[in-house]
Amino acid sequence: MLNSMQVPAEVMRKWQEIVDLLADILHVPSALIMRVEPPNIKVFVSSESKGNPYEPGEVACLNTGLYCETVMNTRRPLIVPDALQDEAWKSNPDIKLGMISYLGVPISWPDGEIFGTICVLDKKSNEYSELYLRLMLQWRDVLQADLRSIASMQREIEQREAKIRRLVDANIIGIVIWNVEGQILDANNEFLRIVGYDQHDLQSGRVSWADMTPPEWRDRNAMTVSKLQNKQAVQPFEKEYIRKDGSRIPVLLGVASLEGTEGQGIAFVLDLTERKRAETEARESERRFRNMQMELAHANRLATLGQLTASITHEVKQPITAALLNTQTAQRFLTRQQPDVERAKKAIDRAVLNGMRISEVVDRTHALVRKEPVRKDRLEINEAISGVIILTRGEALKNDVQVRTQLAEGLPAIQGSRVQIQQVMLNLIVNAIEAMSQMSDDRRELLISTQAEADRVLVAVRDSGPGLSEDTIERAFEAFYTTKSSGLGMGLSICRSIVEDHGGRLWATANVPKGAAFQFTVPINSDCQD
Amino acid sequence: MVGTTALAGSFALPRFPMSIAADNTDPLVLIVDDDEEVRFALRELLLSVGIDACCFGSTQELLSADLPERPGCLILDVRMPGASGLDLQQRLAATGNTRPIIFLTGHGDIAMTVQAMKAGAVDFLTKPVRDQTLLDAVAAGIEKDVAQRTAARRIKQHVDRYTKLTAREREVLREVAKGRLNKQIAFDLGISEITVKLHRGNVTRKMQATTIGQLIRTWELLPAGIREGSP
Repeated sequence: MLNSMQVPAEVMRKWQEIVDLLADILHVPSALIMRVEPPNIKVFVSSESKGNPYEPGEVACLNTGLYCETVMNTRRPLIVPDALQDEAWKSNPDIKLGMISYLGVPISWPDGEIFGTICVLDKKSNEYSELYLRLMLQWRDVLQADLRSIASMQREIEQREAKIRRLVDANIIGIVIWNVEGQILDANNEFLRIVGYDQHDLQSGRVSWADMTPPEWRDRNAMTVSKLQNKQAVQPFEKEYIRKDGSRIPVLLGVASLEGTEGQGIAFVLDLTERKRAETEARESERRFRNMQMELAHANRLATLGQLTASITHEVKQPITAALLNTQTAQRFLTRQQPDVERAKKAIDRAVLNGMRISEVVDRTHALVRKEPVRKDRLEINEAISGVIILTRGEALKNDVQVRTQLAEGLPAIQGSRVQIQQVMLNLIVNAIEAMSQMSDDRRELLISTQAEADRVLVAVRDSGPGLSEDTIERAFEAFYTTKSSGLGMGLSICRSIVEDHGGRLWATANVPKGAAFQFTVPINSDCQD
Repeated sequence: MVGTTALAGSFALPRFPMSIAADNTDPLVLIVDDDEEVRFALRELLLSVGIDACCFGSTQELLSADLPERPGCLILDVRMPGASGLDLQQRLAATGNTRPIIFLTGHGDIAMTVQAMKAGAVDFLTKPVRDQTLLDAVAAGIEKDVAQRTAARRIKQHVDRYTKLTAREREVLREVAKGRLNKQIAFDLGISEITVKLHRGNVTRKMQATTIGQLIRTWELLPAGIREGSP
């Protein structure tokens, strides 16, 4: 593994200097650093000295009886003063180049594996003194120190690369290398999955981020690229890619330029399909929930108003009766033998007023029957409550309930939905009347009051009915809890959600001396005050 | 109540029409309805045909009012706060007030109608009501009251005359009314037949009857209490 390691350029320059010095000091034509690359050995660095026949990069086969082979095999220095005089060396390959003497020492990697040799060769017989050998060994140590630092740097790079590889190969997010020409140079499998391409497409250069970008995103892309020229990364942003099959996919894209490259960058791509779907689902279920709440509230209003049908009918029939009587009276005054225009006019005036009252009652009822989205406006709570009291007046009458009101004057306005606040009042009043109607002889009294508190308005509906036991007080607001034979038991639960939706509170207590008291608060909205 | 306060002012009117003198014997209709607009409209309709009317907002108001002795009828809303129209009907009947009652109701409730009619209501009308229907009912009510009052006056005359009879004359009258002969009466009372004839002549004269038949009819018109209670 170490064998294949690159030696950085600056080290190469230093080594060149070493062999040059070596050749110069020893007065030899060749000083070399050889590197083994099985099955060959290569001239790694060659001194730039006169008469040096070895070119850097030259390769020779091993197992041919080279000097260096022996050095590497024995791992020991070798001195051959004159090969021509030495039986063992007189036919070695270097003699053909005229190199008849040799001094070389082995170089090892930090892990002990052989790197090659550092050696000098001469065309004449050379004894190479002990001092030269020591000098060679010193240079060798310098080279080995360099190899150690290269190896450790390499290890570091490898570790770092492994971590990045892990990230890339884990395929949790898509990672690509891209260039400004619009190509995807490299990508992991997750990215290919996101955009629906495969390795083959990638290798044949068919994957292009420019092509995958929908037209409406092209400007944004150009902007990103230009931004990248000024800084290294841009804020991640959401966009869409066109997949190979033409469909679109939402992604989150983070882009950074690659330092030291010409117009290349790296990007991570996150598939947002799942998240978008979840968001849509959440929105949909929120919408369904709102809808259901609205339906439920509407159903409750209808049901409650249904209970009041007779009373409301009465409330409408009274002015209708008066209006009809007044118009018929006017006719009579006009068609008499001596028409009385003055009285007829008065009767008609009154009929007009009757008509207005009819329309008032109808409007008031219709407002509660309508199904419409909740709108919170500036609301005078007393006025809203009075409307409900009029609607329920007949019901109170029918059940012989006396209604008293203590509505505080000059109450600050609240921010609220008229229909919803009226719905709460409608429920509370109808409940109270119903509770009292179960009693036999006692005085039936309903007290409706409003008052201002620090930052809110307090509304109370008190009855003199049988009251609530401690257990019922707790359970009264639960959905589907009811003590009545009719009804769903949703009323109070709906009322509580309405009040809480207005930022207030609804609760029940015992009334003094008897009966139940339901109270709720609604915060005063300072925006509403003039 | 809130919505109607504005209207109340313009509908305010005196309970009794100003022009009516205390000794007036023209018909007077009493209107009881908790809705001021309805009360007012009813009164105006009656005025348009020349019938006086006065209005009450509740049964209590009516009961505590000092009513003039004038023929007429009541127009009564069935459903009112406090005592209902049907309650009032019973209260009035109990106190011997026989003014005919026309009920008005927002919705025709059969049970209520039956109860009211059994208790002697003239009519039971549903709101909104046609003017002619109402006026017909009022006319019928007034007619009935006038008849009742005439009948009552005649009975009162008879009772007045009866009270002027002596005890013996009353005994003789009762026996005559039973269809008994003079001698039977004389025997029962232990007096002579002549004396019976004398009493009989006095009774006929005092009761202002011209024939025996007339005398017997007069007797029969007397209230039962008097007929049975006298010795």
